[in-house]
Amino acid sequence: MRQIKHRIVRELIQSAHARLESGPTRPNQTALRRSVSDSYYAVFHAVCYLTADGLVGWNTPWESFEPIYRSLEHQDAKKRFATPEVASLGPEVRRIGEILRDLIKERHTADYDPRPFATNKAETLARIAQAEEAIDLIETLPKATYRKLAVLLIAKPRRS
Amino acid sequence: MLTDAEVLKLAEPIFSKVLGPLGFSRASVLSGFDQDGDKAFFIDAYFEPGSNIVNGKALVEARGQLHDALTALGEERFPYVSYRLPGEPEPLSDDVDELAPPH
Repeated sequence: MRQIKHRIVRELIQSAHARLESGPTRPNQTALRRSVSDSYYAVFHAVCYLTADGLVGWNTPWESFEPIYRSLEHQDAKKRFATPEVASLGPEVRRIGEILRDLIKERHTADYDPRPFATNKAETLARIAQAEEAIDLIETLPKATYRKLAVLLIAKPRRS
Repeated sequence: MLTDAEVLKLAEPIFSKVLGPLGFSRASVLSGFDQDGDKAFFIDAYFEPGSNIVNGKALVEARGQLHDALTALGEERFPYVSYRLPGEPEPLSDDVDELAPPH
C-alpha cells in the first residue's frame, strides 16, 4: 500500500480530532468549524500530494515538486473530479471526488457562515471519518489509476 | 431533471440498505444551489438517536451509490448528503452574550 509521505495530511486529521476532544465535554461551535475545515484541508492536501507524487515523485527536489503540488486550485479540484474522464477511472476515484466536493461545501459554511453552526460533535466525527476514507482510498489506488488521475487533475483540458 | 420526491424515492432504499445497520431512519431532499451557484440536491439522512454513525466507509458508499444512480438517470446535480444524528448535545454557543452552561 502506498503511503502519503507529506505529514500535513494525517496531522490535519489528528488536529480535527483534537479540536473536538480538548476543552469542555460539549465542544463550542468554533471548535466544530475548525475541525471541519481541518478535515477538508487534509483531503485537499492529499489530492495535491497525489498530483505531485504521481507526476514527479515525492523524492523529487522541492523546486520541482512544489509547483505541481500548488498548481491545483480548490475550484479546479471540484470541476476536474466532476469530468467524465476522471469519473471513468473507477468508483474509488469517484468516491474521492465526492468526499472532496462535500467537504468543500462544509468548509465554506464552517469558515464563512456566521449563523450558528448546525452540526453536532457526532456529525462532525462522521465528516472526519469520511475525510479519512478519502485518504485511505488515495493510498490504495492502483498505480496506473493514481498516475492517470494526477495527469487529469493537472493537465489543461484539450480543446477539440 | 428529477424532482426532489423522485430523488428521495431513489435515496431511501440505498440508505436503508447501506446505512440501515448504522441506524438510518429517514431522509429528506431539497434542491437548490451550492456555494458556487451550481445546482445541487441537499439531502439530510437521519439516524436513530444514540446510533454510532462514525463509519466513513459506509457513509461514503451510501452517497456514492446514490450519485452513481443519479448519474445513470442523466441527472447532473450533485447530491450533498448531511448525516444527522438527533438527540446529541448541542454545541456551546459562540455568542458572548449567552452564558455557557456548566459542564
